[in-house]
Amino acid sequence: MEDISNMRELFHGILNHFNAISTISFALADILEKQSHSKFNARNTADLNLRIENEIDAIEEAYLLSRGDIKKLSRIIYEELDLENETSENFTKIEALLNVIGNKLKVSRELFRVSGGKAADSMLSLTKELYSFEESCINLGKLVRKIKEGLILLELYKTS
Amino acid sequence: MNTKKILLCDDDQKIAQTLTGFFMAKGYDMTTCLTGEDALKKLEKETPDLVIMDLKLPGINGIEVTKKIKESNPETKVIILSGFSDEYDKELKKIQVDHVMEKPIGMRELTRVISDMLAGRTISGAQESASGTPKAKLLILEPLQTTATGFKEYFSSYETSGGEYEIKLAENNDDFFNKFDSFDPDVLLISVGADNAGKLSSDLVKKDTDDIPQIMVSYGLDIKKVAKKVKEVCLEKGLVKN
Repeated sequence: MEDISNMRELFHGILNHFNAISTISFALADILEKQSHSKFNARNTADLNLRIENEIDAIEEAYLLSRGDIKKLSRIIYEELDLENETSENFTKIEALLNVIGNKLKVSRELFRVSGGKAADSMLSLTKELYSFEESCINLGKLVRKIKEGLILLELYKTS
Repeated sequence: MNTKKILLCDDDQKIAQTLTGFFMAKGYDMTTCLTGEDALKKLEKETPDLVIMDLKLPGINGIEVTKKIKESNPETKVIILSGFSDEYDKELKKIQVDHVMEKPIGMRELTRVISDMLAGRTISGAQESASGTPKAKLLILEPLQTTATGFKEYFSSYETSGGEYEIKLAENNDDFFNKFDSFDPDVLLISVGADNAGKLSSDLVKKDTDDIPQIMVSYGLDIKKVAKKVKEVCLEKGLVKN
């Protein structure tokens, strides 16, 4: 059984995971966008490919961790604090956004696999996906803060 | 050009690496620390122009490090990146911090804040450029997201455009007309890829406004070329200085 004293750490962890996704996605998208304006050469394409793979791995790791923490947080709120009505709407939105990110991650990996870092159209699509990750994560952060604000209003956050 | 020094302190190695690489590519001289202790050691040897500080750090936290920075170098600007600042709310109010940003941070926003702070400009709601000239309001209709982002970054950046533009992006015609009414732009940049770009331009000319903004149609993706033309128009209208 989860202890509600973990809530503060959970909130903190979740926002850090979302921060990792948004920051890394934007930075990578920025590189890809600049790259699309310059001529590719064999060396920088190889370097870039390695970087894209590593960064997508990092995004995926943060995504999986955030999913796990969101599940723990929702269990505490639903089961231990019995607050289904107050917070379920925000959790539903979070779940939907996380699903979007999860599906887009799969698409991004496929885009990268197919193009191998060379096909301009795929790279442009990947850039677009990465920018959309950033946007989604900023929105996720806002939803998590709303949940926290709700708990403060109900004076339940103090107990953590 | 004098390279600005930034010290970044974040205990998440991946984030620290990403932010460091990102801002190095933007031309800043970056120093990275993963702990408060390390940051204090580095601050004994060098004086950065700006510090990006995470609050929750192992050992000495971001509040303590910020206090020491401001005691020894009050001129150094500090941006706090806060995951969840409620633990530190009281302490935050007691110390001198130049700007607080909540995680997850928007990288465009962080880039803009850093650029503004290092140029000595007001951060929020800033309508004046460094030279004191009111910003030229530019409304861009560009359906292609990556191109739109490129335009926004280029015109918003102090390095590339002198911080003399205030930008709004519209992704479709409805969005464009909504923003046209609320933003009151000086210059309109319409992508040739927008739906009925030509008709849109003529509709705008017929719009009942006292001061019709300059309308430009963008035919290419070369941001520098488009920016040059926008600048010429803005200089002619006296909206920018340089």
